[in-house]
Amino acid sequence: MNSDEPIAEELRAVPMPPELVPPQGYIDEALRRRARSRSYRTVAAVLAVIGMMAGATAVMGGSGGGADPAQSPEWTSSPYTEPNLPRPGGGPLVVESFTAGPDRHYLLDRDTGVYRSVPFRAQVSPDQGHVAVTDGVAYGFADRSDYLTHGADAVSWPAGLPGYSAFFGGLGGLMTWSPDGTRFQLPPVVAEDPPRIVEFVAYDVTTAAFTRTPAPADVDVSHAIWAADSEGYAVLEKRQGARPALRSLAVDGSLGPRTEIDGDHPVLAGFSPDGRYLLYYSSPDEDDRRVRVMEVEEGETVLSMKIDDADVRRTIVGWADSTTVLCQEWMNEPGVWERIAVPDGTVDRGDAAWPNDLEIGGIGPSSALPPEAADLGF
Amino acid sequence: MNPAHEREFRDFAAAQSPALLRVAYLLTGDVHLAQDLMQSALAACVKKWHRIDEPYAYVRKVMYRSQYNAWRSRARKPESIVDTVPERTDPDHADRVARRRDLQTALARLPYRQRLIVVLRYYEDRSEVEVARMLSISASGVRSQASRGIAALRRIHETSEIKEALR
Repeated sequence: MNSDEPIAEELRAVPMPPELVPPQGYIDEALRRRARSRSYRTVAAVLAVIGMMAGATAVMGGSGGGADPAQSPEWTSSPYTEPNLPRPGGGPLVVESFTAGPDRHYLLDRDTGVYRSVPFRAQVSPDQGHVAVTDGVAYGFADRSDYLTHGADAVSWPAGLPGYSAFFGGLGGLMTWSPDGTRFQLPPVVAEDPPRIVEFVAYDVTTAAFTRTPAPADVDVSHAIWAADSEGYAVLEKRQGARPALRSLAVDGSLGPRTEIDGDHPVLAGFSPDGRYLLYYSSPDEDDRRVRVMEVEEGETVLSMKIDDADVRRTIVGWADSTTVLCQEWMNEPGVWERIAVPDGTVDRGDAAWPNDLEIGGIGPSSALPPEAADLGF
Repeated sequence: MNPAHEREFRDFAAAQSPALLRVAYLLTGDVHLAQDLMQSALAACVKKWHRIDEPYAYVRKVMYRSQYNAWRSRARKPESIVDTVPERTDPDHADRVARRRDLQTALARLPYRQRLIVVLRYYEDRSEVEVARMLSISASGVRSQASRGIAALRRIHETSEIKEALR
């Protein structure tokens, strides 16, 4: 249950207008609409076949027309145009991919510096050369350039991924690449009664095999983040009457020693690129929401600062580099980027911003962007 | 759709339409839009009906996604707000009803994505992970939007009782 029980109760008790009743004949209409849609698609399919035949004829006739045979006949990528994206004028980072709503996903074409539509949500690999994608039902991966050109046709969809609930399609969550770029993590397998994580799953793109790591049966662990060396994970152990603890989780399921960390319900965000620090932050249920950084070797919290104050509320995006945490302000539109220096906590609040309505899929380096796109960097 | 599936579909639609309409109304704030939303969602499920394991959850998912797309395509045009005042009975009850209707009005003024996420998180009691998967957005996005939505409801609605409920 949510902790905001009063609002839940009030919402459930919102009075409905008396005229809110199913419209007359709505079931028949739903059945009819489907039939009409089916007829329309049949006509469209016939027209498509005629169109393809016309294209093939043109190619055979030597006119040079027709589609690239490798291109999906149903896929046409288009640039993102609405609203105009901010162009901060340059900086070391760039948004690699974003989602503008269900079925509206965009990926940066690094050759042209244009965000182009792609069929599925994409998470860019650390070397920027590949993408992990999900269509909400399955996970796949592709070469980045091929994916921009050929859409779904460029995606490999590994088979044999068991254990997911069919509810809400089962999948659709985030893919997280390992720091070395060889694997991406999928949402964990969850048992429903009682609800707990039972298995962590990653896909190794170098061996085309799934890595399945059992969660310890006698320990209540939360989500997993990649270990800094990409060998296994770090998980949060939730403990009754005690502070939560950070533990390493090897691929074979064995746990490392406990390191207690601050906060009642912290969320692990990730290790710094050099592996020295761990970034984590308070869950929204906590009153005093804080972003915290722990020096891993000593297990010492070196930074603890409020995420929200009267004027500024922040979403933690992740590490900008090994000594800088990247945040986004969301009280105003668009959301201004902020950089928090580690460990001194100095906040650099620049002018660059990003529309809050566009869900960021990933951040990458802006180096090697073409000159005309360099101002996308922030 | 074979006759057995059609019968099952009709039974489902007849039994669940009040609950579906209620969700649709919270999302749209308008009776006619709510009816359209529910009807479109049902129509979208007809073809794949035989493959849907949890129809109530599935139809609601279709409703959420349809409404999300509709909001985006309307490019943030102002939403209509129902102005029908519920019938009042005793003063206490009337206050409660008015308060909750005010909550609905405040909800209808939220930006579309915040409204959707507030309904999913607090009316449907969906976890952040479920909402994130459903909308293909990040869990942190769900968290921030839910938090923003509640904060906005507080700002929009200033009565002490609603504030208390939103605390």
